[in-house]
Amino acid sequence: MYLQARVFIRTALAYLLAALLLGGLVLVNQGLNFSPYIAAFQPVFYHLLTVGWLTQLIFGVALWMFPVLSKQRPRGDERIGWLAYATLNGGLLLRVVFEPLHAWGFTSVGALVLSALLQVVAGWAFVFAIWPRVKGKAEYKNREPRTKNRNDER
Amino acid sequence: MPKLSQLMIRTALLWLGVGFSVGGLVLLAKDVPFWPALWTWRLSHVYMLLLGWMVQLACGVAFWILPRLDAAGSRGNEQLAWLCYGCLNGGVALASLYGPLAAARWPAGGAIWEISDWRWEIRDCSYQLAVSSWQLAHRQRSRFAGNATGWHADRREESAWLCAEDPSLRSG
Repeated sequence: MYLQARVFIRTALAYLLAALLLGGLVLVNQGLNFSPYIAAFQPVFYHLLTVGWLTQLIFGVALWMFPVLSKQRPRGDERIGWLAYATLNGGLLLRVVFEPLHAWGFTSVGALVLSALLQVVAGWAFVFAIWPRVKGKAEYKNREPRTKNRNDER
Repeated sequence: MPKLSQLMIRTALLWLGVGFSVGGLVLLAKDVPFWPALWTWRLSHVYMLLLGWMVQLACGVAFWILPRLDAAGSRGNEQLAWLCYGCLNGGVALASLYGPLAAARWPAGGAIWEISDWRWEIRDCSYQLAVSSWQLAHRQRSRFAGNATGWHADRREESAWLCAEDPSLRSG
């Protein structure tokens, strides 16, 4: 497994742990009602689980296992994949911090706008990164048999 | 990758882009409430991403990589899988449009608003049909022990091709 896929998947695993801890806290609070502020974390919990864990895991596994693009650039332009990684996690972390603050009545000074923008960029960046790799039989299946170079015979 | 998988994965990618854009707009409206009706798109965002993106991607990849039924590489009844594709996307589209259209009462007094009650029924039937056709199409492949014509054989061949001239790719 190459570096970019490993980074996506390890980050997804970290989000899984964070989401389960936060989800547990929200659930315990629903039963015991020890703080009214905890309820504001519910949408954050949903997004940690579905965006941070599931979507990011899918991104990493897809980048790793989808058919290679070409021999020269097996995974296409990896910079688009890194852009998706940076914007997805940047946007999600901004949301984790500022969405509860917003619910508690603090002004987020455009942080949620930036978070939304980053996550939209992340979604489309991944689409552009993986789109050319959604294809039929790989090049090697249709390539012509390699012929000997005339110079080799001399 | 078979044609149906390509189509399902590409459609899933489109739902991903559209779903993230709708979600971004809903989040943006939390901070800058420029259009109150945007909140009715929240459920559409959930349908687009959970069913249109995740479930459809899983279906497309499963159709591609699950073990094949015989040495010729048969993937079972493809018509049922195509039916699943149509029903799943029809259901997601109906579910995504229902909330915003119902909230906007659009067109005012027109047919779309009047049939909105049974549109939920159509959506549910569409999902049921998608799930049933998928199960029928794949019930044998999920039990099959595997053979040499599956995804793993393709991966081995692809790796051998990539590594033939560039050994540095071997670890990837």
